[in-house]
Amino acid sequence: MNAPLTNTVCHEVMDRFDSYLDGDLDVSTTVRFEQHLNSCPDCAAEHAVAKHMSQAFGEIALESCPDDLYYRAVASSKASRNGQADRSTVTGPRPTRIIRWKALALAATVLIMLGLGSLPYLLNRSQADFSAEEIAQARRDVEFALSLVSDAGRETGVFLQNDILNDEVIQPIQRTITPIP
Amino acid sequence: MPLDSSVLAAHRHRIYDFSLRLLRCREDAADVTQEVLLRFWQRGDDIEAAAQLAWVMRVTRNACLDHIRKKKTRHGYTPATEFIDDFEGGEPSPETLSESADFRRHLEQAIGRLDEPYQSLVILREIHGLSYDELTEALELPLSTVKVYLHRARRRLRSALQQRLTAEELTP
Repeated sequence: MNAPLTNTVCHEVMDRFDSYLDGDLDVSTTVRFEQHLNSCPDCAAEHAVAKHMSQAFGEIALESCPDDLYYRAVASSKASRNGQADRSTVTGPRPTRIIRWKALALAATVLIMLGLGSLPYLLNRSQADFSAEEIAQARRDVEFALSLVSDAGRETGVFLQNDILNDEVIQPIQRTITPIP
Repeated sequence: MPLDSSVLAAHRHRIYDFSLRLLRCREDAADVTQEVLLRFWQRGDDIEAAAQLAWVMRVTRNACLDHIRKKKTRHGYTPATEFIDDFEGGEPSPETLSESADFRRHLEQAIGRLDEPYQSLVILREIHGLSYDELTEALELPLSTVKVYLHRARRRLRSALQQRLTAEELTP
């Protein structure tokens, strides 16, 4: 930006307006720059606008953050630190909540994988077709999945009794494994 | 370790002003300001004092752009027409006040019509006075790009003003 003006042409001057206004040009380039401004009405007009703009930028005051907004944010921050965030005033994601939902989703996924994976197996074959080991393994799988969902429910406070998962997955599994001795 | 609230207070006006200029809606700017203050509070001393301003502005800008994206997705985003209008510097004469206020109003409107990242660059450089180094951090752009974009943005602003104002109104 500080190389001397080789050709004092308008586009070159335009390209260096910012450097000129910021005082970043060296002395000889500044002199040539100003000589061009004195002899070129178009560049002089452009310079006048740039100068006016620069002056106007300096007059723009920052908008003040309202006090009540600031104090509300500080109160929320302090409450959040103490684990008592007022959720009506805190915006944005709530990480703890997200992690809990992830735990629930994980448990539900395991349940679906194990439960649904076992269902056709259990439903399409008579009990006489299963070995004792297969029955025991199926029971352990399903009970494990149910315990995961139960733990996630306790953790999140969200229980699945009325959820579609309960009606469509848990109950059928429970009905299926109950008769197994 | 959370920040001292005096550090939070030092940046609150910048956060709110930047949000308001990007979102053009006081309610949305308040939401973003609160979100950023909370995040700033939580990150606290992890951020070096010298890097705090750029960090705060980067988080504010990202929060604003997220806000705009969500609004666009939900209901189609229409930028508000509200713009900042209060003159709070010095005590110019009534004539100067009206002329400079008029020019400034047009300038602020032209800034509001700039695309990203030009708009953020102009606001952060010209109104908030960030250094080039802080701009590269805040906008996550290389220095050369920052300079080129800023030059382009200023040129667009001059061109926009020249289209809207008379030669007389354009000169100081």
